[in-house]
Amino acid sequence: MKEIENSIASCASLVELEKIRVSLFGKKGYFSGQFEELKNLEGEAKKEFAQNLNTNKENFLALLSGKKSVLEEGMMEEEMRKNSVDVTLFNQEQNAGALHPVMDTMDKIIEYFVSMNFSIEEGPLVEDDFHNFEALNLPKHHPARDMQDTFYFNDAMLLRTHTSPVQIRTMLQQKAPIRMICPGAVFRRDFDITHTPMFHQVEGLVVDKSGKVSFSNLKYILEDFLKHMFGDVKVRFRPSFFPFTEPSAEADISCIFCKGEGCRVCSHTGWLEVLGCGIVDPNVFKAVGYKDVSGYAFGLGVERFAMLLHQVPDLRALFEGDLRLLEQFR
Amino acid sequence: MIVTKQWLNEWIDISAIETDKIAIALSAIGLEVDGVNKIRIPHNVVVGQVVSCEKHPNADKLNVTQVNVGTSIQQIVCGAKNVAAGQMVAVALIGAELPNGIKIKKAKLRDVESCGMICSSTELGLPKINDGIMILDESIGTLVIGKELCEYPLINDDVIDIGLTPNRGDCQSIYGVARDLSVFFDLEVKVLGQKEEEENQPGVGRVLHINGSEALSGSYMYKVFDNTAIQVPLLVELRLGFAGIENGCLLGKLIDYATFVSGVLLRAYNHECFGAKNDKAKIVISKDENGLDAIFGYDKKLAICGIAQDEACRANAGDERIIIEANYTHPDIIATRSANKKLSADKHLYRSSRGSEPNLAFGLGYFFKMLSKKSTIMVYADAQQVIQVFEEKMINVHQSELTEMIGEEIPKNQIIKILKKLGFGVNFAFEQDVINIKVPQFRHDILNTQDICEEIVRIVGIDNITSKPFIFAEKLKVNLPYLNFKKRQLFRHKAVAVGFFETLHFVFDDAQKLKTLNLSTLDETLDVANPITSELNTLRSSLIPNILKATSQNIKFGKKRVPLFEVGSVFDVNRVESTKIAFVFSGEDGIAEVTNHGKPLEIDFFAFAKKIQSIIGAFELVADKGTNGLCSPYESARVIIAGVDAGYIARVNAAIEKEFDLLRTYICEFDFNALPQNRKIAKEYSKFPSTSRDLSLMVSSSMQYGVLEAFIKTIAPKELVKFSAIDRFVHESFGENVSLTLKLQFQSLEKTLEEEEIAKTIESILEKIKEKFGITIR
Repeated sequence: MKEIENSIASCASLVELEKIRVSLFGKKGYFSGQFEELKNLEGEAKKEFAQNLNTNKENFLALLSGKKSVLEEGMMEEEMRKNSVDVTLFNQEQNAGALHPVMDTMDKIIEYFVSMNFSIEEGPLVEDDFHNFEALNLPKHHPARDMQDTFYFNDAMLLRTHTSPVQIRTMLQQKAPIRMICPGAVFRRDFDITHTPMFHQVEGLVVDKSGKVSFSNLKYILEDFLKHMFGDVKVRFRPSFFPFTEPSAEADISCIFCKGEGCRVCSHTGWLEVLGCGIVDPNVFKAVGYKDVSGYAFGLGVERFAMLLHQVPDLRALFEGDLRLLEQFR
Repeated sequence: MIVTKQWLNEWIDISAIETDKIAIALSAIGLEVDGVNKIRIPHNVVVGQVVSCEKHPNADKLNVTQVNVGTSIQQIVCGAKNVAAGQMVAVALIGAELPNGIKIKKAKLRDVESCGMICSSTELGLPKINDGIMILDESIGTLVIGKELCEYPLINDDVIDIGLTPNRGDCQSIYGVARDLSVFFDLEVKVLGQKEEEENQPGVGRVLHINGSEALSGSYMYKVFDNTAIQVPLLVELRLGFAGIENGCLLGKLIDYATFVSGVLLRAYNHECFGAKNDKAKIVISKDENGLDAIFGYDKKLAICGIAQDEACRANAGDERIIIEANYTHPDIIATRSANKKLSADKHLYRSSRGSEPNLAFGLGYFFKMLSKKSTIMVYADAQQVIQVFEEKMINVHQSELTEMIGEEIPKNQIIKILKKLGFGVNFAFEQDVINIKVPQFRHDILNTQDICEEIVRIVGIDNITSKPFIFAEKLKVNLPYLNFKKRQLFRHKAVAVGFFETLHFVFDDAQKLKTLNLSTLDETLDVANPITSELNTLRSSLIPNILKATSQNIKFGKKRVPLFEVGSVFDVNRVESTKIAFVFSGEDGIAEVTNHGKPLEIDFFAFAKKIQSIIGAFELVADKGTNGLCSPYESARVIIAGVDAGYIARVNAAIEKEFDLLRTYICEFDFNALPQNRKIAKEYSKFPSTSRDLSLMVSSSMQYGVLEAFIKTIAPKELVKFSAIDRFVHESFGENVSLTLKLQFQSLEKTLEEEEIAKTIESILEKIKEKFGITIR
């Protein structure tokens, strides 16, 4: 018996172990023979023999099943070892695409204002003179029209030069109070290192009863918005001029590159101009037939935001679908 | 608008204020500073006097000069044509380092020793004023031989570039900017001193007669002088250079300078254009055919006020008797009429249409002050004029309105102080709240309460206004644009996850190109009238051509795999705008890596369609011959989403692939509105196991799978829950047929299906397709 015990212990494969099992418990195996012999015994002798036999049987069954799990574990280990990989072979090149930095920036801008309960409004890219200029206090031959070189069509329609006509469309369709933004593409006939014939703006308008909307309100939301976009920056406002607002201002943020120390990006001023805003000019309200209202408006260039946020040096590169640039935004 | 610190300093005393603070102040009051250029002449450049000047013995174009530089006389070889003995010049001594990087050393020029350099203005970092050396005069300060030029503050100036907004015509002059800045720093603006020597001169009436018709729009003032020699001070030349003003005529330079400083429009006329040499000149001013004031001499129109002047009557520095005119017309009249009539105009229009300075006597006075600095002239006493009465504009402002607009109260006394300082007349009204404000003539941009508010805000400083939250009544905001924004975002994010890069292109395209590609173009009557280039001369009708161009560029830069997409506006023949979403995939479908042994598969129709399906969801394909000239007729289909034709998917045809240097490329474009954004509804699903069987059929090679698929769908029992083609195998032994393998999946909602039932079902299907198409099992 000792011999068999040794052979179980030294057995190296499940096949061999099965052979041993058959030799012990098979029909012609050791234990069948022993139980046959039991028939020939009686009384105490039978009882003693049976007890021994059962102890032996239990003993071998335990040995076999113990050995079996050891061998099985070994096999699984071997199987796993065979499948081992060099994890450092993982190819770092990504398969995913990326959102365009301008569109992604636009999303972030929209999400801020939506979270502040502004509605989104849209308008056509092809506009007429009334919505794009006249109603916005830009009468014909106003020198301020020079600021916006316009694409015209043969039928005297034009490509909107700003998103502001959507303000006019919204005010003509809805009654005050209004609290909206309008994101979208705009067009100026200008193409050089800092200008593209198409770019994107997000424009905001708030209108309520006369005396309710003030410059302080405008500052309040824009300061928060600019911190949402650019992080911990200082915000300053400078007086400026837009035909559709009065008073008008431009908002600057402290330069995000040099922290206001002065660098090439901010022309050594420590400040970056980021948006224009103001109190809606009464002539604009007059053009849409609004009475006894007050309001503020603001507008910003999405490309400028994207270029500042992502340090893209060349505006034109944003419109070239160049993967060498786009892949960096994965 | 260019100003300099020293230039402003002639009108307001800002000598003690640092330039950076001046720049901040200008920006703060709405005159945005775009840049500051601090000009500093290097050390070792001194005032020198040319003692003698002789031709170089060995070089025609060189002179050998002896120059007194204070401590010594230095021999300097000079190549400038305009060098002459007696001149005061700028001498760079040995050791000087000029802004252009030149270090001055002792040198020999054609065997003649040269110890220094006589400098031109540009060599010192100053604007170009001539083609030779810069000849100094006392306009820059008392000239002391040997004194360093960096010690002359007037030419070591800080040049400030202001981006002027179009409403601020009043700040188109040095004087105007100084006047505005004086309010910020609370300084007095200096007045122009009156000249007295004219008193003994003959009166202007002897040589000039003005005949102004009634109902003129503008005001005019004239003075006359007899000219012997006009000379322009160096400082005037340099400052015109700072301001970027070029004028080839000495008189023209002084006119431009006086206008730039005073803001008053000035013109110089040759006296002879209005009368014979010793006669009185007769100037007639009356309305011309366009309703604009015009200046006539001998019944000939010689100038249109604020717009243009006939070149022939413009006085030159060589003319003997010269008439100087100062004029002013309200900018609205100039802007409207000149634009309506599309008149050709000179440089006056920019200034006149934005608002020039109406104080004509000031402009004329300043001109003659500058003229007499160096010139030999005789000025006739007094002036002739035709002046329109200025209608005073009054604005009544309620202080409460200002408070509401600003959001906080600015004290009344502060408001009054600011307005007075800005030149407004201020009166108290009986009512406590109201302020009566009289607008000065030079502020034509001030029309209403909001304009007044802006004046106060910009001087108070917007940064000094407290930010306050706005209390808003709730209003519904879930509208179509909002839903579209969310939808667009959803599909864009999905496209990115599948591996596409978002692109952005101009909505323009090349009309000719669109036509050759059989893509729709705008009706000519609706097309772009003033395109920026011929490649961008119309509006696009498809997103694809621009994306293909980008794809081509990327391949040129060595990309093997270019997956791009865009969501944007396109326009049909009637210029109706709609939104499309388009995808382009060119080249390898995957990256070279260990798992594919460095050989990723090329994109094919089914792999491309699978990607699109992962983005936009389920669709059906209907074979067609190509939607437009971009498509290959052999790999092309219309895409049907929920029964609606949403667009197309195709391989780019070989000719286009070649033209654009593309790799194997697939495209698709859909109406954005046709993309589904449905709620998903959960259906009952079986809890019993499913069984699948593969079935190889002999099918005619000309038969579309779609036909078989549609038929099986009509005959399938409900236990056949799914089936699809998984293999198509061609072998010569099959003849006209191919082997098509289908995978069928069976499952019941009620029970586990028995082997027998499945076999029976398959048999019934086989029978039916045999009957219908003659298809047999392989």
